[in-house]
Amino acid sequence: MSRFLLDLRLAIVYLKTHIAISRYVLSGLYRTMKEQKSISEYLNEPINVQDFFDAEMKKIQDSKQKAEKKNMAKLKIYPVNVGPLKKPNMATWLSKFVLEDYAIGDLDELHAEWVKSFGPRKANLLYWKNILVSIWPVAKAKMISGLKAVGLYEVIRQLLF
Amino acid sequence: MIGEFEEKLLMAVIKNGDDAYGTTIYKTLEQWDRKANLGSIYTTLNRLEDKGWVESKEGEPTKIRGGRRKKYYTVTGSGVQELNEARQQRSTIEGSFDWQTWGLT
Repeated sequence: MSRFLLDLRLAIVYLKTHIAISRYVLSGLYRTMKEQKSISEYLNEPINVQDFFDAEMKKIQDSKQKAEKKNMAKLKIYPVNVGPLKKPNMATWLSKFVLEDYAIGDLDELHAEWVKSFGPRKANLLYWKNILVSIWPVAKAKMISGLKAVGLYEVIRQLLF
Repeated sequence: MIGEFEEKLLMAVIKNGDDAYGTTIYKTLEQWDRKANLGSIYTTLNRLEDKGWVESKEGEPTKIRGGRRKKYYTVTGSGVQELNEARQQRSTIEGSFDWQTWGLT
């Protein structure tokens, strides 16, 4: 009886091993067939050199951009329109009350040049400075002409000086 | 009577010729070490226009200016006359002034 049981166990082990080997061989065969299929597909496909080159260039550019971003974060270099003063939209809005449209246009033109020569941070600072110092003479001239129109200018001048 | 800043502005407008507008005038004054802000430049130019020494015309809007127009300036005949008079006056004064007496060379 014990002999029969031992034989049975041996037979089971033998069968299991065979099944495992055949499974391994079959999966290997399947993989090889799949690979062969993909290679044949690849070989049958027309090779577009331009697409391949573009894809490679894109990869290089992406990695370059990532590296640049990393360096900029390290050096605290701000890209255009991102700085401690932000883009001077607020200054433009503020100046609209006093300055003429062409003066703001001139400042926008100068701002673009300042960004090129000094960087965005100093350009924004110069823009703000120019807005603030430009408002005063225009406001003064407007106030004087208004007072002259009402006839109060001479009266105030005599009172003050 | 023409002021110092008015004189320099007229000269800057003449120097820039057909391309005389805010930015170019600002840059020319900067080159001459006579720094001025755009507000005072435009206020003075408006005053000169009222006097009839300069004329202005609007240009085309450009993208770099945020779609805003330029304002071109040209010096009129009376403006040139004023400049000449100011120059003559200055040369007369300088000619009659004895520089060496006052320790100036």
